[in-house]
Amino acid sequence: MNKVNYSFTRLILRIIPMQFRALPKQTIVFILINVINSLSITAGIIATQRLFDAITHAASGHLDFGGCVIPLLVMTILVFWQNVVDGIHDFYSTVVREKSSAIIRTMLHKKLQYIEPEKFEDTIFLDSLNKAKEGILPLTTICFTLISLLFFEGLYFFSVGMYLFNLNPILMITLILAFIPALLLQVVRVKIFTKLEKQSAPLRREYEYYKKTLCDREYYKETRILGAFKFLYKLFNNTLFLLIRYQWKAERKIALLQLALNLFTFVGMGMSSYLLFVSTMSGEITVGAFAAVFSALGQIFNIMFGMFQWELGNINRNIGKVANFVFLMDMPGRTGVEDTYDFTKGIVAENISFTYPGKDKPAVCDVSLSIADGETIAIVGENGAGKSTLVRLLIGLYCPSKGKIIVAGMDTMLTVPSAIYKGISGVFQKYQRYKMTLGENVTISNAEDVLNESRVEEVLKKASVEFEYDDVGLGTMLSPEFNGIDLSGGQWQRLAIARGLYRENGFIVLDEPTAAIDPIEETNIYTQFKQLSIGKCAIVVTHRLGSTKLAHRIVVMDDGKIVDTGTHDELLSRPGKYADMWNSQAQWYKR
Amino acid sequence: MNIPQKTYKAIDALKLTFQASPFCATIYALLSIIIALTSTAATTLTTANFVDTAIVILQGEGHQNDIYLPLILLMLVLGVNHTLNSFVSLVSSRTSLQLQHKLTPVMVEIHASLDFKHIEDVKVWELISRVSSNPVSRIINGFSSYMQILIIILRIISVLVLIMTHVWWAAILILIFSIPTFWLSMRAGKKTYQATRDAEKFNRRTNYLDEVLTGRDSIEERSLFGYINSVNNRWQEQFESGHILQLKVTAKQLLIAKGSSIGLNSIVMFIALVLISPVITGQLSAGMFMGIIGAVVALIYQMGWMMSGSLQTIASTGEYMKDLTVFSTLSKTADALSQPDLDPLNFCSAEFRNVRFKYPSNDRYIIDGLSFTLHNGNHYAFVGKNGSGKTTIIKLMTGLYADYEGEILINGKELRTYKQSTLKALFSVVYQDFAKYYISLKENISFGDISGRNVHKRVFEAAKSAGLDETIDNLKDHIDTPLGKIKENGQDISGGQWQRIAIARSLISRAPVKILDEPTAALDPIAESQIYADYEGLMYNKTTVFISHRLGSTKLANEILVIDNGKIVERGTHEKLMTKSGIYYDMFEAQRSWYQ
Repeated sequence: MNKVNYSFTRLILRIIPMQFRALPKQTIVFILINVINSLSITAGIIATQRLFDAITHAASGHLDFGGCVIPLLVMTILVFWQNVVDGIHDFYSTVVREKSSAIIRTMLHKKLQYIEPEKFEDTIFLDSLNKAKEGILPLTTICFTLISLLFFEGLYFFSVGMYLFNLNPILMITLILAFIPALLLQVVRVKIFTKLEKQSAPLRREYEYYKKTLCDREYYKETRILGAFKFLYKLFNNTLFLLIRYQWKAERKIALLQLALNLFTFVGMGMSSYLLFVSTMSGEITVGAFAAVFSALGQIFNIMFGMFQWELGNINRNIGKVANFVFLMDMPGRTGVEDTYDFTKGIVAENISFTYPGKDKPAVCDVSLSIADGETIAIVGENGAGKSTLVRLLIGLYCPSKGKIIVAGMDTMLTVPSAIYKGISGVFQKYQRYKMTLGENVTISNAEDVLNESRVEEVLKKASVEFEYDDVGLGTMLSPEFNGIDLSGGQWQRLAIARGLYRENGFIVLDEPTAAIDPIEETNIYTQFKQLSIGKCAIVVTHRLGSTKLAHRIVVMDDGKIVDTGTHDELLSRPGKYADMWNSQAQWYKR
Repeated sequence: MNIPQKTYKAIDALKLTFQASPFCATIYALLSIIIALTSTAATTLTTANFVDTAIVILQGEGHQNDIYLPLILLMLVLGVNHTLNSFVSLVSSRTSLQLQHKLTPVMVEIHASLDFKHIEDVKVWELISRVSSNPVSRIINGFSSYMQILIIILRIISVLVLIMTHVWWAAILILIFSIPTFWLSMRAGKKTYQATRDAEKFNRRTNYLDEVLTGRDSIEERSLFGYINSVNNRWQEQFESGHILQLKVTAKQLLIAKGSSIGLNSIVMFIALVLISPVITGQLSAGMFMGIIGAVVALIYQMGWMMSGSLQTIASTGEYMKDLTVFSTLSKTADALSQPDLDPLNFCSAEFRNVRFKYPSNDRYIIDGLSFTLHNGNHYAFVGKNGSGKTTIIKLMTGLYADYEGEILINGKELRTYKQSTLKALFSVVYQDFAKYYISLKENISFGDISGRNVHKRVFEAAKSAGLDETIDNLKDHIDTPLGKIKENGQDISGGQWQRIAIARSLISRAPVKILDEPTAALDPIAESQIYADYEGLMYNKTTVFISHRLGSTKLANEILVIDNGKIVERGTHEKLMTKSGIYYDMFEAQRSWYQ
């Protein structure tokens, strides 16, 4: 898998168009607001100057009351205007930022449709996906920061620069004097905090984890009954202590640095003030201008520092995550041609092998198998034998690394996945318990089509989904977290079967369905499946060897290969894996 | 540092911070006061001095060199201000770290000692999560907000003193206008916290839907069923709803902040208007005018957004403190954090007498008149439908809940009179949802006998009996390998391997009563068979309780209890129950029929 490797410029060139595509009008309005804001502030300095000039003249008796009122009025209006624009800026940026990140998140959701599902078994990919998700909000934030830097701070310094230049070219030096210490501080700050982040990130993960073992529901009763609090608390405390120490060291360094640079700034401000003074003395600028610029000096320095500290620092912190996002969006996905299914051709796998990303050993090795139309096969084997992987290959979820699979006449490597999935349904081992309504939990298997309520009722009945209370309907929420009801494991299992049924199919898969179900339920579920698989291609993956009687044929897997096939009686008569497994289960029922 | 049970208010953010870090907090306060005074009064005066001297020199009535003293004074004041500000941020971060250091462990201890019934109560758990999610930043934000308010008040006072000499009524005007601003900000702060809580509801839904769309567990269904578009639409709907809610709050906040800003600015402009005449008549120097206006404008800017921000934070902190109050009053289990007794009790019997129990947020009695006795040395199997209460019985017996009706007697004495540490040493439980600790394999197993001596030697034996030999060989650092991906060199293992570790934990335990709840759910038939065989050997001399759907395992038991609707409905040996043709018979036959 490729490492995330984007240069800063390349990244910026990718995300800015993305932002514009997401919300073109709003982004332009945001630019305008920044421009107006920036010019308003500079106008404020000029208006202050006019006012102070008027006051100075009035003090020396050259101007009357009326002459002072007009500049005051102008300044008043400007101050109001600034407040309003500032408020609009804050509000608008919040609104647009959120809306923007929603649109970008949708882009990510849609992109994931095309990513090969096996990548989700690769921890490196999952890590990258997580970072990419964290990069969604920063993407907009960084774009906005860049806009701000260009159209607010940039324009501000340009217009102030012009103003100062107009007064006296030498005054431009004040800008540079403000610039250098801020830049230096930021560069070193970034270095120190990046180092801190590298040190702390793994430590912080540990710290959060230990806290979880002490407080989280997942661990609560176990940690208590084992009496493991003391042990885990020590680990927790140690990591906390280390984290604090590293943080303090970094903060201390920064503070000392800041102190040193403050001196520099201080000298810079002193020199700026002196320059101003000299210009005033030589008559190049008025006293009013002097006072106005002097009071604006603080503002200039603040904005400069703010720019470096917050804005650039912000970019630096988040650019890594944004890189992960762009990397994900640029990932090639599964493509193919459209086609239609024809289950009379069954499912044929020819010499297929498959290795999970990041692993050396193939999970499925040189397997050939065919399922005829209307045939049910059972796949059995120990944990890790490759059963689930084989099933995923046979439904076209994974593409084989070697060999080929033809599902209903379509080659899984050449056909677009949605076409392959169209005639297939299933109940997976990790069936999901969606925190949605009962109806949604069923129809989610065929969400793109129109809702068919009578069909929903039909499949619920077929799967024997029953409830204790009468008032449970299609609109009942099935999760206590969202103020709904809770279902038992058995009810969820049946619901998952109803879900599988709701989707029209010529090929159905049942993967390890009854891990936590009591015996009577278990029997019912397997019996039901037998009914539901009549006339279709079907696969049952199971531990419960007795259930293999449902199938026309049994396939025994071991270590990624098929070691035997046949009917139940045939397999039992031969010494081998099947017979071993059978006996180790059956012995407990011989009493 | 302590979080005793009491009513907490916003001001407690101050008190707690001072408690955690008295030295730093005091320095912070002192520095803030000095900054407040220098940044307004001193700056105004030295600026005015400088400007006036400059004007005098320009008008030819003074010497150029006269400027240096005022300039140096001005620079001095600015420099002191700047330096103090950087000190303040250093002290602030130290204070925050100190608070983190002292407060977090205390919160964790309280959290971990709560009565178990709170953990399983959805509403209470939500409150607990809210309180422990970010206590340090909540409190520190409250603390610094109070400091901000202090600074602003001092600045206002110093500016008012300055202008009082010229326009005394302005002082009163500003004060009068500030009061409704204060009040509005506080109210807005409260509403913000509440609105954030409401928006949380939507956030949770969007986060959940996002998990469904991007998570690993749902990949199979997500791909096969192809529901990305419709679920994404649903995500967008939820997002819109939460978004609009949040916007209303933000809009209100800004309106208040900017509104009060504009109002105060009007006053300033009015003051400026009034001050023009004194300048013309020479009562007020131009420098003083500029200094005052400059200071007041800067002050108003600060008041406008910083103060409303601080007040809103204080109001939010107040809401948080309400949650903290409830948190501090939650009942705790005495001895919750203890380790098991070194030497477990001699176990004779455990008896349930007409026990009734329901979960805190439920109306239904999940245990409804349950009576049975377990005798030492016997091997029991509990069977029954899902939801019949089997796991709940275990939770009650091991002392997780104290609020049950009826009696539970251990060796003839009421369960509730025993210390937790005694109960912990008495029972060893492997739950269906056993915990996977991401520490080394060795430590994971040795958790089974935490108080014991020479546990490390026995770890290898237990691991072997649980069938972990091959697993250990395949790990990089063998038994010392950290499991899971929390540590750098950690390695993942399969569900089946984790199950064996849980069993090894049970094997190494010296507890006289061993309970296993669905111990082989994640194992394949051969492995499962092996576990039963191995466990049989180690059941000698102990009392064991198996809960399992795989009825084959009842072969190991010499008494089977069938539980239905919270009561024992059938009881006896396998043979006896088979003759009854009741629930057990049905269930057993249902499974046996597969093997015929």
